[in-house]
Amino acid sequence: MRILALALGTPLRGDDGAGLALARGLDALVAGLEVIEAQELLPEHADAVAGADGVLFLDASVAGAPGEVQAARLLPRTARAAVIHALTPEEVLGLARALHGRAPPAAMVTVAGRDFAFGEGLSPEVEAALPLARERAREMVLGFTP
Amino acid sequence: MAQRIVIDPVTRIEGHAKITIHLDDAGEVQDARFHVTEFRGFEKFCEGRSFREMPVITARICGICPISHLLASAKATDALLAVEIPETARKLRKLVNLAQLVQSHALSFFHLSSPDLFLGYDAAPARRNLLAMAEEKPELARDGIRLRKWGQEVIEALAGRRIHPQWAVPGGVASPLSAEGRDRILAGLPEALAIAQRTLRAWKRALADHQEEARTFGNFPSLFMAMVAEDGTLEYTDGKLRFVDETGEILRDQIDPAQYDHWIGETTEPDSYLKSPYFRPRGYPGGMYRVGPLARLNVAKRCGTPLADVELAEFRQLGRGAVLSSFHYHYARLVEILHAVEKIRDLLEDADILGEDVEAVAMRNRLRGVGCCEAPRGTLFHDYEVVRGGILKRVNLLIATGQNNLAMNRAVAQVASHFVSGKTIQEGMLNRVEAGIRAFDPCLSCSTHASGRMPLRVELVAADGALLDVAERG
Repeated sequence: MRILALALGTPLRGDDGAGLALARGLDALVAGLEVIEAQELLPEHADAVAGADGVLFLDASVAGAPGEVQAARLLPRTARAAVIHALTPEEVLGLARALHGRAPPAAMVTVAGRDFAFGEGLSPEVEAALPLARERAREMVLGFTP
Repeated sequence: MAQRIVIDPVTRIEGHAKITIHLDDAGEVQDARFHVTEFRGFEKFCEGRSFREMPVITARICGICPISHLLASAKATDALLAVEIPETARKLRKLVNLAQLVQSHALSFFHLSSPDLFLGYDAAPARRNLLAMAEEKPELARDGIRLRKWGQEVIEALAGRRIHPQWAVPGGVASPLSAEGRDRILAGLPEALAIAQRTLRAWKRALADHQEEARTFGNFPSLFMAMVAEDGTLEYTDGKLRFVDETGEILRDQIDPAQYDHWIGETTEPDSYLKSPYFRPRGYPGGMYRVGPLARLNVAKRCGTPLADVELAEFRQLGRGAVLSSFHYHYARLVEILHAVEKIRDLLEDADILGEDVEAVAMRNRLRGVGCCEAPRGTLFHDYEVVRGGILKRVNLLIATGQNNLAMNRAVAQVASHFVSGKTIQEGMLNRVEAGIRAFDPCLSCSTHASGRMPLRVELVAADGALLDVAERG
């Protein structure tokens, strides 16, 4: 099974790098994992998504208590916004379905951040939450199998 | 009416445009103006920096065409060093410039303009975007995404990353091309070529449905300027400048880009931060000229690659002398994509391309350096003056979009005259005005990150100055 992880964020804005950090080491838990790091979701990502058997979107969240981990399945959605620099994960899945006739099972795993100011390094709460977030990501991948 | 210019600090670095349409007493369009209200200030805040930093700093001007600024800047710094860069570096710079042209033109045609061109100007605004294209014309949308991705992969294979690379440096490039990188590019080339060819075929079939736009979207005589090789062949990186008139006759040829300010005057209008350059011998505003894909195809004698030359001959049938309608920027872009893919193949097959001597090292030897290249939107100039220690004391950037400013104003007036009448803004008119501007693919449209929704404000002003109607998007 080919699992694609789209790790989103930038390490230069503190906890915004949580998605990237989450992806690191995830290959030990998820067999066949391929990771693409990106600062934003673009139409080009629909190509990669359509070719995968399952997709994980890994990101930081501005909602919730710092370190809070959320995981949820995603469904493809037709994009309403015309702004191609601000596609949501659901819209990328929708674009994959429109362009290639299929959108693989997908899930989003997020870690809530505390500090998104300029600077490198994660807050202690976010750092501490990464093992749990990776475990949730692994569970979501298990759910991809029918 | 003292508050006509809108300056929004949030959008200062994003890109904002405003259009004012002036009506006469009878309610008919008298004039229209296109205002760019963004102010970047790069020329000013680069003063005091070392010239060696300029390629890295100025690549940040644009996220779509950082390569153009990187190259124009690197060439200006070569001139300050007074060096001949190694032959391999020269070819690698050409290669990356062509790759950028492919990805930028693909963005313009497929991502930004194809909804207007294939779904119609009167389509619901929510449907005028790439995502609706994916549903209604998935093959075309898929081709656009693939072509752009390939162009970016070429840039990545050469420069290490797609956006804001730091690879072109004073004296050459920072690293050679690996055999693996070359092979990766070549692997994707046949598909890119096929996409370029079938899109051209599709667009030529669709042209019959766009006759009204071709007649009214900036269709007027003007001069055209672009870079050409010594023999008049299309050249994007290392050529000299040529001006032709509306009949296609050459007015001036083989102008050294370093002498640009002798031939090009720059003036400003109080209602726009975009400069209004003009061809000096004709004065202002009579010296209006256009740059970019349409200009390049009007100026060059040939493309210099077999498939594109066949297409160029067919393209030329659209005009007697030069092709005058700005609507045909779209068509010109597709011919250029085809040429660029062919040329990339030629360069990659060159024995020198994997050479490892890619950087000449020198101290500063001159106090002024001008760098020039063809950016996707037209000819780009970087002009630096330094003090003896190499610190910049004056920077002038002449950007493609600015050189089309007079023509864009004229185009807006023409589109408005044709589609606006009476005292309210008609549904669909805003989109046509937008599309008229978008044919030029102005830099502000890419810097605003908007597809189908260029932040735009249209004002309808009566003869007595009264504001009759406003339509706004953004």
